[in-house]
Amino acid sequence: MNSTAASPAVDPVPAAAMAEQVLEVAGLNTRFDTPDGEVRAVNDVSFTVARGETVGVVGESGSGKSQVFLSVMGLLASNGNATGRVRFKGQDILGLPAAKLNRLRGSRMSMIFQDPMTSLNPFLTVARQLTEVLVLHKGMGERQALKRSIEMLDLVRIPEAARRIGMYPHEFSGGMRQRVMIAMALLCQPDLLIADEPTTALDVTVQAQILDLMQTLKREFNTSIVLITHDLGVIAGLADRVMVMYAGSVVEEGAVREIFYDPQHPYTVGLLHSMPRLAAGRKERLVSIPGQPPNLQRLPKGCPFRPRCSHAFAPCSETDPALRPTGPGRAKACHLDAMP
Amino acid sequence: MTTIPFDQAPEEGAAIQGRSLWADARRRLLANRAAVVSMVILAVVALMALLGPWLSPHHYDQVYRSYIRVAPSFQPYPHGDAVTAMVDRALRRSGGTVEELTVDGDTMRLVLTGEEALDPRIVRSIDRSGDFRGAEVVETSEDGRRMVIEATLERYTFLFGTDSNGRDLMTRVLYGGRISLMIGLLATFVSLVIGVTYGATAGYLGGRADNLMMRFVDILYSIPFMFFVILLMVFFGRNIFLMFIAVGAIEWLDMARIVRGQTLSIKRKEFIEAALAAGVGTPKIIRRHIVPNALGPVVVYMTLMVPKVILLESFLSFLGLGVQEPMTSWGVLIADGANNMVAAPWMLLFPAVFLAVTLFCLNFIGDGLRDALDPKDR
Amino acid sequence: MTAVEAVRGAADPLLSVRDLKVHFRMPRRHLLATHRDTLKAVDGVTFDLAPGETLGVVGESGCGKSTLGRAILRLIPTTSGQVLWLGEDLRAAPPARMRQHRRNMQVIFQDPLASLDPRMTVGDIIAEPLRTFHGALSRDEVRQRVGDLMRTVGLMPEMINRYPHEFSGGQCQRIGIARAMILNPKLVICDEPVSALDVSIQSQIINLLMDLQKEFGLSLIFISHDLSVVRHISHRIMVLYMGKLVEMAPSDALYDSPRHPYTQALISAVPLPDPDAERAKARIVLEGDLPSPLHPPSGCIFRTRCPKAAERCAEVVPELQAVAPAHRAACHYWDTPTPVRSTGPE
Repeated sequence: MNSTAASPAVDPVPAAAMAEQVLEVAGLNTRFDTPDGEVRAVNDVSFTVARGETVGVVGESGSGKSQVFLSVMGLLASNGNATGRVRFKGQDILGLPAAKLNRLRGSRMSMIFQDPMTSLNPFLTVARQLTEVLVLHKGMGERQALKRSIEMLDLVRIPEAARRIGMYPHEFSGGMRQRVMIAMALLCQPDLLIADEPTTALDVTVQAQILDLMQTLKREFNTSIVLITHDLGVIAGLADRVMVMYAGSVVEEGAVREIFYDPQHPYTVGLLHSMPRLAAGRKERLVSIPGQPPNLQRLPKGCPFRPRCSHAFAPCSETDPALRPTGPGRAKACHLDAMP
Repeated sequence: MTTIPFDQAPEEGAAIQGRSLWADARRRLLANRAAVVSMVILAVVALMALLGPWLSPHHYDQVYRSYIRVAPSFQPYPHGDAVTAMVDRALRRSGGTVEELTVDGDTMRLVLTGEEALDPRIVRSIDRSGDFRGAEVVETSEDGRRMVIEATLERYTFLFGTDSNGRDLMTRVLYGGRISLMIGLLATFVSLVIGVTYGATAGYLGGRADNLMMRFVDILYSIPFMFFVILLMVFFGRNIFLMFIAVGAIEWLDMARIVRGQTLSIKRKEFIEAALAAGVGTPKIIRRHIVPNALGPVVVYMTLMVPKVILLESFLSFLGLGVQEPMTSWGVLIADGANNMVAAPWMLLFPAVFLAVTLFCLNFIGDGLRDALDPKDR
Repeated sequence: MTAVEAVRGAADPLLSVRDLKVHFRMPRRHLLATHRDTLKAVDGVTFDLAPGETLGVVGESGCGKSTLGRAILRLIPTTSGQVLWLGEDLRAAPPARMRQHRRNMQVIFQDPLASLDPRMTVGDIIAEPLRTFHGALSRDEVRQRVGDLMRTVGLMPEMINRYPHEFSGGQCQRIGIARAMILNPKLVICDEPVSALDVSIQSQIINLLMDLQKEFGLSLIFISHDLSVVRHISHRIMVLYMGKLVEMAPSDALYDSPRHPYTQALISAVPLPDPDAERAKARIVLEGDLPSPLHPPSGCIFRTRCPKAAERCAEVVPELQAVAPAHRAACHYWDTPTPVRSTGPE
């Protein structure tokens, strides 16, 4: 667990200099045209993901955390438009035609989603859906692909994989379906796995199983993982580095221990404090962040977090603070120099 | 008293008026160009149908024997030589011969000669023909065998031409529009009231009541519609109100099914449970929560049902089961026009255009409403 | 009445549930089937609720926790047992009597937006229970009371004519809470009231509920799958597994010394927002998924996933037994240690 040696996210080093960067995103902006006006879902987001690193992306609904990676994968809704630079293993992939992207998607980079039911085609057997990936991307024969798929299901600890592979998605439980999704994402041994709220739809005990599995996969495959979630607990267990997003921007970034034990952005502080702790009893009021999540169509002038921030002062209502490095591998977007 | 900090930045003013979903839908509908244009056109058509027959100089069942199947024209009839034929017909049994005929503006001057003395009462038969008025003898020769008659020409404008009975087509088209639109609206309204009440009740009660009520609908569905209408006609005679009942009674079945489907999904929403938990009674829940929320698709379906009903009426009238002469509707007019398609194409053209424009508009409005009411599909 | 008294059960209970069962008969598999499966959504749950107490109900999806809440409110039919409201059995109450009771027990739902009628203004939504029970109130009086309550739950009274879709999730939940509070109920059943909300909003709502409880002496039944939230708000907690009560204890006792292996697994599965603690902690990882609720295992329903299941568990259904004062668990082997797996990093 290291690789926080990554360059300050604000200014990614060219790919040649750091070969082990799997994903480099610079100045990513994503806009959606809606009948009610333009929605700025992602604002000038830059970061890198190194080989073997697990990056946690935390944020609430509307923070743009999912849209960043849908932009990266070229999976934006039709009214969305992403600009900036996205490099995957040194290759520019933003705005690449779908045919070329398809060669990367599913083989070199994969994504798993929150709802495993809607991500699987209910009319095809799991076997068909798994082997299809291998036949398409790896050019394997049907029989070989089936064998490999069964191995993969074994790996994600699906009992009786050889028998179950012939079943349809609805015959699996929620946890099992998410395992199938993970198996499918890992079939081609991708360099990058993007997991968008992989356990949110699952029960706690099943979530524990899936997190356990991801922990193992991380160790065994050395895959780079991006873990998008609103659950700080999930991040705490798996991530090496954490990006905190608010209103479409990265507001703080750092190694996981730094973020949890020395948060520097008032939003991160508020988020950490507003989590009810299992260790604490029923006593005190929770510290809460006042106000409502931001409306991306009507962001306030200056810092988007200002209306909810207890430390806001004059500059906050004037200029939107840029993400600036505050230490090795650390950055924050706040006018305050240090948390009081 | 605990004070909990306010959430929102204070906005000035007393109570802020919210924008209801209906208001939102209205705004979206008004932003839809096709729907707005359609609504304007439809309003014009409806206004014409409403006021047209009343403002028109012709009565819808007035027959002009001299103007059978005349073509549409901006120029007032009679045209050119037609006056000669009209005079000939008016004088058919008077025994005089036309020596000279001059038309000057609206005044016709006629010089008649006869073998015997001419009867001055001849002017009456000229007046009676309906094509002239105020005929009078201005000059009579001494032997009475030559007579100069002056009369004012009756001039008529038939913008849409006339039909095979010599009735003004424009008045008839507008009058027919009145009937067609009325049947469309009334039958839709009847089916709306029955269908919404029935469907919402069945859907909300669920279980055995729902089963029974919907099986009853299935049974009604299985009755052949034509048979049903003919039966009604046989028992109660031909009556325009029977049309409403017949059409409405069939159409509410679809409406009930749609509303029931909506209700089934609304019923599972938590706000229904919240109302139940608050002790709200069943009729109130249906009225206050179910029906307003089911109304979106209903309104869309309604705009599509009006044209359906108008077509149905046309079809029935076409078969001779619907509106009876001299009353008319677009369907009757089109049927009539189809019979005279070659000789008098305008007889088909005008009612067909009106019907088509109305149906188009209703469909566009329906589409616009659907988009406006269900913004998720945008 | 203080919370401590409530836990000790010193007062007469507000609500007593005795061996409550909610069974659903499933449709026939095929036309000629003579057998119909029964789904035991709630199967013999017994508990008391004191005035001013918060009882947490935890369990995973399908454990019957929401069904239990609805059964208490008689929103769904129950199969057997008793629901005693101040000693009177609600299950036997005639509809008119039940309607009178409803003013004292309200409910808050999971999905804040879905629980509000989208066609009604906020004022009308909050006032609906008021108009049902106090039809004689004038418009101004209703408006006044709605406005006061909106202020209490942290909404601007100026918003009274707005519609639910104009509010964020947290605000919608406040509207739902205001509607539940307008009749001054004695009991509010909260069915996952914060699950659909963002973390920063969750804490606002939890604080609001705790404030309201303090101010109005409410009893709460707080249903949630989130153990941290339940722990924070509850005096006592009961754990459900496949419709059965497996453990019930005061909040601290349950978390500090859980006795049922399922409770232990549940607690150890909660990811902690603390990297060091999360990576160092010992976990009881349950294998497999819930068995089919239509064909539950014999004996102890938890035995198929239990790390210490023995032969006896397949044969004898474990009864709830007192394992400590006010602490009951349904396990034959509650006093033997449960095998633990450390899942720390390499």
